[in-house]
Amino acid sequence: MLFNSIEFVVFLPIVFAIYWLIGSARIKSQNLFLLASSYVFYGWWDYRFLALIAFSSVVDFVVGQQLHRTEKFRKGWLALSLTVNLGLLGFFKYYNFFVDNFVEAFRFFGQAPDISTLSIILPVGISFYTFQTLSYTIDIYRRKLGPTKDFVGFMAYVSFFPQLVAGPIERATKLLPQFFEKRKFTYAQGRDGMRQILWGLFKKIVVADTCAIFANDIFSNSAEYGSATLLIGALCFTFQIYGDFSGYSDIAIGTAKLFGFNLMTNFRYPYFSRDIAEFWRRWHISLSSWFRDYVYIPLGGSNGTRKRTLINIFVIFLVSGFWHGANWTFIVWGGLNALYFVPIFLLKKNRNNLDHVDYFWPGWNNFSHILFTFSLTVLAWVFFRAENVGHAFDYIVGIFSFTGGKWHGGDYLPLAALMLIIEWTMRKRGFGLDFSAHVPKWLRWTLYSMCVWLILFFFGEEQAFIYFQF
Amino acid sequence: MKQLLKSILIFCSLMAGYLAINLLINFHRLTDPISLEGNVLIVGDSHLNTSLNPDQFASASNICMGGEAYILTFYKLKKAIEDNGQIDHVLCGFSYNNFSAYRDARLTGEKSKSQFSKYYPVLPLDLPEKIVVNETKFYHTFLRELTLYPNFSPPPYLGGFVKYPYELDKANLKETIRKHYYTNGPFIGISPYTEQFLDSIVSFTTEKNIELTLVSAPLHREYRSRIPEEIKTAFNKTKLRMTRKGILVLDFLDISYNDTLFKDYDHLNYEGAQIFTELIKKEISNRKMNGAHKKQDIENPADIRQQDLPNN
Repeated sequence: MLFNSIEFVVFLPIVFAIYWLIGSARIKSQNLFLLASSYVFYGWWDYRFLALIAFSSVVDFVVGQQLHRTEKFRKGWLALSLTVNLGLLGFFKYYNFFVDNFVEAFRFFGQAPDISTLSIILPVGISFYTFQTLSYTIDIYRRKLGPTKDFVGFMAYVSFFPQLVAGPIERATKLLPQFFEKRKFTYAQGRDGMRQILWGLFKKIVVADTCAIFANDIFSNSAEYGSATLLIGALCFTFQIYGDFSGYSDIAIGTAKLFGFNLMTNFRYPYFSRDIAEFWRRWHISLSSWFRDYVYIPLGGSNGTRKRTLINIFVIFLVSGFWHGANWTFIVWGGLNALYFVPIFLLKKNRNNLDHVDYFWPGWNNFSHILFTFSLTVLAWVFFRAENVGHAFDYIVGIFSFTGGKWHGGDYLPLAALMLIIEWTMRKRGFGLDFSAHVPKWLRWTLYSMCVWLILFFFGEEQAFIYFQF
Repeated sequence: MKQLLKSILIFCSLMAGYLAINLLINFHRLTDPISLEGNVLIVGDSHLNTSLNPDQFASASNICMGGEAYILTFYKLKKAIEDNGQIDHVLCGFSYNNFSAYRDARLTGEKSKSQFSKYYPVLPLDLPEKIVVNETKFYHTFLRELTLYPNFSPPPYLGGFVKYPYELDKANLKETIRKHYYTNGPFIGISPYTEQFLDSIVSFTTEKNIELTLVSAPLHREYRSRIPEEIKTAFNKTKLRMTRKGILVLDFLDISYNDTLFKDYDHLNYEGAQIFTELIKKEISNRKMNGAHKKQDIENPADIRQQDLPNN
């Protein structure tokens, strides 16, 4: 079920009403209902893969118990959890990639091994819930978290529908306890949730889906277009992916708030970053911090030699790229971001910009840094979007060849500009419509109405969320 | 909870009020009759839209629209005839590209939004049950066009005769052929709806006792030579079937008009339209005098009119 579909418009109020009718005193019943609702939400896409989530949840529940119960074989139990979860992820997401590259490598040396690829459907959201369940077992192994005995609560945590298919990737330490506490409905939380859902829908439907029309056409026919159009195509994709993914996160966080849950912030206005390190502190925060805590730091982080640290940096960026999909384009995208990051790190400037610019007019210095970082990001997104690495290089060469050619204007880019203006104004707050109390009601309602109007106007372009495929 | 629900209710009521006011203002677009001049009505896509000038007829209207599939022509024609009782003769475009599935792709793919935006006042709400269309885009069009803003523009589906003064643009032949027949690489296929809705047009005009003539406007020889055989076969089969049904088919596709009479490889320019309109008028008048079009045996009237053609 998509957040931007009619089905969800019907689903959400029904689930919301029943959930609060059950009452906050009956936590277990609420959890059971959330679990059932989440399985309906996921099963709407393909019910066959519900077994996969259930299996993954059962394994991690049992492993969690065992890790706590015994001092022996703790590593073995953790290995079991890692093997099952990463094994499923590897099979569904990476099997064909490895087979293809294995065969290609042998062909290079004149051999032709008889290994065929499989027609595998990638279960939606597998990368997200796999990482979420892994955080549970790893944190128990590290003794940062005690295991839960509430099987239903744990299952509901793994499959919590607002963030099941595209995050934020929640840590068990933060989200799981919320399933065992009494959830209260407050006006402020409900209002914030509704506002955040509205802003997420605006970013998805008005910005991402409209920019997608141009990005799809320009990337699909890039050989026909001139430099200016290719640049517009790259810009359109830049806003598409931000509107799409951060829009999803906003809807997820807003929806969770309606049920009394607090999810972590996943985006903090990344396109206003003044260097690439700041960008990565603001983009897909739940994944970046997951890799930092469960990969980078265990590898030694930045505590070892400079060489070791640089290797760690490249590892984390490459793994992060590979997490997105089984394609060399994602790996190159990760590598390119590592290359952007390393000079800042070596100059020890990676923690220079920890907070947003204070003033509305950023000044030339800040503005030029924002523009430069944004330009680097746009170029990197070309690899992310391209069909293959060759296509990405051709596309970038096309941009810098300054040639004429078929023109295709980005008619919807002003909508992206509108989003940027609103977000720049609200950059010190949580999301675009996160108004403080001193904003007059008429102004708030006017902006809500404008968002609703634009959503209704552009609704027909419904497209799936990009990150569903990851 | 009550406070939140109250706020949501007030906000939704205000929005609903705004939408309802627009609906009241715009509702006439669904019901207003269209007023057309004359007893002859010219319908179809860009081929007759550029090649039959209604001003050269005694009394006629041309409501052709570029890229119009027979599905849309049928509903538009239905509305036009129901609102204009004086119409007794319909000239409907009939060409090779009517048979290409690319016309259907305009209703199912990315461009369907612009198509529905033009034609929604004449389309039935149960259209998605009759043909495969993007349902979200189809119903969303009604919501957007009727409720989001007051709309005072004239009916967008009417079209009309378009004068193109310039001469043959030789740059776009390959692109035109690709667009019409090979949009996604291989041959795009035959439209499953062309026959169905052409039959609907025939049944409807017969039921209303209106004479129907299918008119095939000239195509440039370079264009003709590149049309897939599958399309030609489908066209010829239907042409024969229509002829057997007693429908007059004026097929001038193969006439070798001079380049100066074309706007591009599949449309006439204004000068070409003037000549072609006269030709059609004469042809209809001759047929009426001879009464030859009933169960006609003439496969290609162009064969007997070659002497009338310029630069032949």
